Amino acid sequence: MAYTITPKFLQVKNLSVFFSTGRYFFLQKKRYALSDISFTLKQGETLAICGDAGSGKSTLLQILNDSNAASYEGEILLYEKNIRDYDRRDRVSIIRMMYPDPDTALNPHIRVYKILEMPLSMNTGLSPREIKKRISVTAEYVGLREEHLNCYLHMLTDIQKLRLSLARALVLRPQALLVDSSVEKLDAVLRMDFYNMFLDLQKRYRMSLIICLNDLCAIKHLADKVLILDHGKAEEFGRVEPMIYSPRSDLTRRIVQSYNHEYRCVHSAAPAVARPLGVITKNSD
Amino acid sequence: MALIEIKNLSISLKTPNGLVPICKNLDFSVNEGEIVGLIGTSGAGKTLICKAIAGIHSRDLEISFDRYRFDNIDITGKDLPQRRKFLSERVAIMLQNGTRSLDPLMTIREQMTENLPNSARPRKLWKRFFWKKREIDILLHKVGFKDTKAILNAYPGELSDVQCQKVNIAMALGRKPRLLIADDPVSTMTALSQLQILRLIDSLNQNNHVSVIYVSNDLGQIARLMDRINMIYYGEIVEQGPTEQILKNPHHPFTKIMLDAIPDMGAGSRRKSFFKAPGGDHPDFQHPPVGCPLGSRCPCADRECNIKPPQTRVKNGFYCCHFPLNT
Ligand code: SF4
Repeated sequence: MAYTITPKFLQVKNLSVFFSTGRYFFLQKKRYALSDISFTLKQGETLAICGDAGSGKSTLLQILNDSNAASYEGEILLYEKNIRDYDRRDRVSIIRMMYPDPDTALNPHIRVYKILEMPLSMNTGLSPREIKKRISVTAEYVGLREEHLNCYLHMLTDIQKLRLSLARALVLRPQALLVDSSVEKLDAVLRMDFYNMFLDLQKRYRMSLIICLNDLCAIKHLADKVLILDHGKAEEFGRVEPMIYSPRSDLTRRIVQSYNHEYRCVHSAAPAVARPLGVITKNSD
Repeated sequence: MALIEIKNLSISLKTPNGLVPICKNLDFSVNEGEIVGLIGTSGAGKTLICKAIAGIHSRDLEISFDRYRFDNIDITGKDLPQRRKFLSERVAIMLQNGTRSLDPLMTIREQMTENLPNSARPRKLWKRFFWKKREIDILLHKVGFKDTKAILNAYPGELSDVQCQKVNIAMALGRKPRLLIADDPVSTMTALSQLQILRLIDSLNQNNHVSVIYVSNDLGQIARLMDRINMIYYGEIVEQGPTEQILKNPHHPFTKIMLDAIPDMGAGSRRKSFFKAPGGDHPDFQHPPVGCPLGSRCPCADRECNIKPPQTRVKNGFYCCHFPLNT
């Protein structure tokens, strides 16, 4: 691709997303789902978005993916060019989303192979042989076997559907992957499997990742930057280590402090969790 | 004393190609005032077991058991509608998505008023005026709401997930249940909200003597909440024991895998290094594996594992494995 690698891959400036409520125009009010969010992301970095349900995580991802019809103010710059100025084909092969609910996001009437082929034949000019090769490589990468390609959607298990959803995002070889909280709902073992895949993608292709994560441990391990959302407002944005060791906002401090709660089982080999938390309580008093 | 005792629970799914068994010969019991954990991978049948216990399973499941005693009352012979009625007075349920388990078209006040049982009505005549209103206020205060009026007039869609879960707990409290089934209510919350909900469940157990069945797929998140843990894999309980024993010296390799998957936040862990994870998926129920279901993912597997392992009893529990760890 012709893009030069610029340090500024994705810039979001003062993004506010709103819905208009009310029937008549003079009664209309703006309801903000997200207000005044700015962040920047370099290529190959991971951004973790942390927040409760209803804090606007998914809305932010959908706006970045252009799959949400809500209107927004502010600018989203991709390679220093406004995302609205991109041709759809170009944009789609830069940013892809792994849809959280494969049952409704994927077409149940066509075979898995066709599901994976569709974005390729629509957005790229690859020959059928190349398409076939790329599909089989991608399917193997995410852990789908050859025979699954001939199945319909309902013949797969839930986890295989999620793998398929990831494969569909990856066939176009995007430079950024958006992951909604679907991976969080998986069990601990499979989650690690997916995280490993993300790490591998990042190492091999310098892929940027934007993930919804709530587990501080995983955030610390995977992410470079973190954005904490609360009811549509950005509480904190910054690098991970400063966020954990010296949080600026009150909410972040409370989240970090309550991470190591009395019901959690932490490895005995990792006493370091308690230490930074102790430091924080001292500073905050 | 056992609150619930189920013998030989079998669950199977009706498909066009015949019955597909999901659980076979499962023995399950909950003692009074105990928090029991059901922990397993996604798709292992945890939710189905819970629904079968509460009698709210869907039509395409077939459920049978040899014996079902609840609170020393034998309800084996009752048919499904009778059993549901019996259980609905004694069991409360929390689902993963708090907003979805409330009616979106009714305000919280209406739902809570409807939910209060008539048996909670005070005896004294002068206390009966507006008793529902007062009761609801008390319940909401108990779960930690300060401004009850704003909550009561809201629709579930206007509240956040945490608030909805709290309302769910308040509604459960109002019916004075004997058993609470919590189906993974905290997995997608931030640590702060998790702690609030877990503390509420714990206090419900301590102060109101409600037994709890807690379903989760992450051992690290909530392990210390529970008194006893059942590890579930492929619709079977593969290991059972008190929490301390499961955490300190697990016998079954699957428990070890789950324990290893707890991420390590210590200074020793290198950032962006790969996690330890066994590859492969949970086996499909339609194509059952030969022998031990963990088979291909198990680090200790050997030739003998082609034969299904029997249950071995140990102190306070059991495990099913040919080559147990830490014995
Ligand atoms: S029986 Fe064999 S395969 Fe099964 S858990 Fe034990 S060691 Fe692993």
